[in-house]
Amino acid sequence: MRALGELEERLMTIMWDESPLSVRDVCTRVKRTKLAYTTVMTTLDRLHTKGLLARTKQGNAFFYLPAIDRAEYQRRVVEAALAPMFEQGAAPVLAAFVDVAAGADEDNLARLEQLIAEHKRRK
Amino acid sequence: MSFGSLVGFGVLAVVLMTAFSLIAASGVALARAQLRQSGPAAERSAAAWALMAPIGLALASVVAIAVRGSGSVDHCIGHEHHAHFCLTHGGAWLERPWALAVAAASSVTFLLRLAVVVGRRSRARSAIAQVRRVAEPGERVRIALSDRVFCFVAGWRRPEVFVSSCAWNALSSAEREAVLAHEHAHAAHGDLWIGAIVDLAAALAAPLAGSWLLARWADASERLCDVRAARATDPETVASALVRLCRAGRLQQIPAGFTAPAATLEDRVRAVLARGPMGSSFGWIAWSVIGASVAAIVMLATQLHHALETLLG
Repeated sequence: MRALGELEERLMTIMWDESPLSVRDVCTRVKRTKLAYTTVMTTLDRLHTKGLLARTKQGNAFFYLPAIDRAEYQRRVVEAALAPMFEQGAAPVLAAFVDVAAGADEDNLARLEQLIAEHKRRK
Repeated sequence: MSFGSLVGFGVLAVVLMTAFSLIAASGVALARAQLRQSGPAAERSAAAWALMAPIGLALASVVAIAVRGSGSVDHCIGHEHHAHFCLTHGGAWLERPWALAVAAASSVTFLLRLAVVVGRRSRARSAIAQVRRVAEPGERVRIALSDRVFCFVAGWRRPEVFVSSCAWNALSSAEREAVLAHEHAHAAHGDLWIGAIVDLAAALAAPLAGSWLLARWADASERLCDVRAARATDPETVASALVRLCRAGRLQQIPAGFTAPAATLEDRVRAVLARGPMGSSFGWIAWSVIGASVAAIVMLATQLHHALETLLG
């Protein structure tokens, strides 16, 4: 999942703060920027298509509510952005602190922890 | 310049670049034990110069040889039996299938490697921009919600440290300081832009030599930042942070951290605990060697010109 555009993010922020909301409800909450009703409707529909909003029909109006919370959205964006780099390797594109794969053997980790503890005791 | 001359000088550049980068890599390999004793700054500097200097020397040689072979028609008289390194009589190179093959294969290889480097950097830039949009901004660090374990610094003009929530939560406050000190050391050393240059230089070097030197540079850079972090905090805390992040990544059963060709965890932990020297980069020595080499190339340009022409032509 890619990070949302500015307008999409604004509408999602409104939804995360308060929901469910109809298109008209959302329009009243963004009225200071004079967004057209159809723009809000299209954007909410797009967010629904992306799986970020769920909706229920009440009478003639759709009411939208978040399908995932803000934290889950952030996790998905980070995962989608960095997963290919984890899998393919990005060195030396990024200066990383540790290559976890370099020493993930349990015995090795235990031995190193013991070594560090010995050094701490000697101090 | 005729197409034949271009092929001739292209072959010359490839031969010189390959030879110089193999010599430089061999030099670093032979001096590896001494460099390791001197400290990571010396190792890092040696690897970076061994990647960059061959490009400068190869270019200087090609220019010097081209200058010697140009503007003098007499030069070509008596040398009809082999192809010339001159800007006017290069047609003979086109009659040598091996020269055409070398020029074509080298061009394709170089363009492919360049595309890989540029593509990788472009994808990384785009990925970081995405993470930046959702990571929680802080005064010194951006926390990205993720179950993976990673921490890295990115951004040329205004470097920012990104740490995953999983990594951040696994660390004690002292270890967090050590990680931040390590990442800030990368930014302070200019690793973000030097990394781009050596990455590109490795694409021009002889294939195995380039990747090996690049790995040595990345390895030494990590250990240098460990030493810096140890000085800002203490060696045990840096070592502990390294082990703790590895453990957190292992518990997650997810490949974690960018798979940098870094030293093994054990090497890094032992090095930081040993409180070894930081070493010093030897930029002035490298510049002196390069300057002397360029001067020698210019002085011996005529001999080089004829020797290489006889050898290759």
